[in-house]
Order: sequence, then C-alpha cells, then structure tokens
Amino acid sequence: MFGNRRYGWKLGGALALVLALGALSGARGSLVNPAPWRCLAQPERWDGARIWIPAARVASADAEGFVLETEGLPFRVAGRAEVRPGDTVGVAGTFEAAGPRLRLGEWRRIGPLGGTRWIAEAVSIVVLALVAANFFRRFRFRPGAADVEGDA
Amino acid sequence: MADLLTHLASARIPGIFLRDRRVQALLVLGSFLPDIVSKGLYHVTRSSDNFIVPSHSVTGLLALCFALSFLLEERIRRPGFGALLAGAYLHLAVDLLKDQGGAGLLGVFHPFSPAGFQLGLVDPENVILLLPIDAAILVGAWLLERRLRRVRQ
Repeated sequence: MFGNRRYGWKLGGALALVLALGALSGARGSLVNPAPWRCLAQPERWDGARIWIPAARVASADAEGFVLETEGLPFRVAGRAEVRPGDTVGVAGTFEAAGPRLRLGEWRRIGPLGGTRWIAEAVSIVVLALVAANFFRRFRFRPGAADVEGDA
Repeated sequence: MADLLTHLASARIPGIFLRDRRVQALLVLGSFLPDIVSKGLYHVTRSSDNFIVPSHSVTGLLALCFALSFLLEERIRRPGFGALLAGAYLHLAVDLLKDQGGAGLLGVFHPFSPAGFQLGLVDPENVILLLPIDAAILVGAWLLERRLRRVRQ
C-alpha cells in the first residue's frame, strides 16, 4: 500500500479524493458557518443558516436588538441582550433573509482579554517558523527518491 | 483554530515516546496540517469557506495524509503516514474542545454528516490564557524526553 509500485496512481488518487471532498462540500453549500458579508450579499441563499460570529463590536443598540460592526459592515441582530454601543460580543443564531438580520440564539460579552487574541496569533507565527526550521533540518527535498525501480 | 502553541504542546506529549526524530517532526507537522491547509486555501487561493471543510474532516485528513506520505521516502512512508494522521486527528480533538458558539466544529464527519460538534471548554477569544499551560507542557515534555533518551542509551 505504501510502496513505490503505482506511485503516481496512489498519490494522484489521494489528491483527487481530497479535491472531490472539497468540491462536494462546496456544492452542498451551507455546511460551514457563512461569513456575515456573504449572507448580506446573498440573503436568500443563506436564509436559515446557522451563523456564529466569535467577536464583533456593537455599533448601536435599541429595544429590538442591536447592530454589530463586523468586517466593516453593519449587521443587524434581532433579539434581547443587555449590550451597549462599544461592547465586544460573540453571537450565534439563525440568519433571516427578511431584514436581513440574525435571529439571536446565544450571545456573550467578550471580556478585556478578548483583544489579546493577536498575541496568541503572533506566537503561532513564531511557532510555525520554528517547527518549519526543525522540519527542514530533518528532511531534504530529493525528487529522485520517488523514482520507481526500472526507471532510467 | 486553537493557537499553534497549543497544537504543538498536544503533539509533543505523544511525541516523547517516538524514538525517530523524523517521525516526531511529522507528528508535529500533522498537528498543524489542518490549519496550514485551511488557512492556505482561504488566504492564499481565496477558496470558499465550504471548499476547505475537508481540511478539518476525518475523511479529508485521511486522504491528505496518505497523499503527503508519498512525498516521503518509501522506508519511512508507513510510519510517516501514521504520524501525520495521528497529529492531524489530535488537532481535531483539540479543536473540539473549543467553544464555537454552539455551531461546533462543522463537517468533522464530512461527507457522511454536516453536523457540528464541540465540547465548549475553551473560549477561542481567550486562548492567551492557554499559553503558560502550553509552555509548561513543552518544558515538561522536553525534560521527560531527555530523561527517556538517557535511559535508552
């Protein structure tokens, strides 16, 4: 199974399967939590989709709900929540094309540590660079190593 | 995604017990693989959200790790595939710990089920709190590994 015999077929077959899975997932469409901008651009397509916005700033609030500012766009959220303009919140709910708006399900206020995610992301980049350096210390790129027996 | 330091720490624990440093490196690479693939496809090739689902699915990772193992020499291919796949599945397990607003990690069992799963134990916006824990795990793993190597010699 892991031998060099029919190398191209095995490698190509596995890559084709990955691509097919991606294409199938793309065709099914609403598998993934769609981005707010995508919902606003095509409200009918995403009507009823479950959406999760991990963190966004509250631009304004009223008795009916509030407006989030996410990806530079205002995004209406319908439902009662004790939020004030300037708060950072995470929300989950169902997108409604009529509006368009998000029907609020769960929500939470992001605490003061919420703004420190960039630190974890900066650390992640450093970790990735170190792991890549270790990887290339252990491995060398030798295209000829994959040649099957019998090749000239 | 959880931060990569958390994924590194989770992969270093089983990695201690692997003698071959190359297989160790592949285990760590496997634990980064879902995020490398999904972020690469999303940010570099501008793939749609839906297309990248297999990067965090059991079936997609199985096929991807099998394909990647064929970039390795034949004699290390089998253990390399095992390490890559174990690391990748470890990544999924760590991601399942996160709180994803009730949506869960979507498409883990794609193409068989689109359902999302989560345990909701870790707030993804406060992953910075995990950094000291990760650092302690990494130091502990390094010390234990040194001790094990001495015993083996």
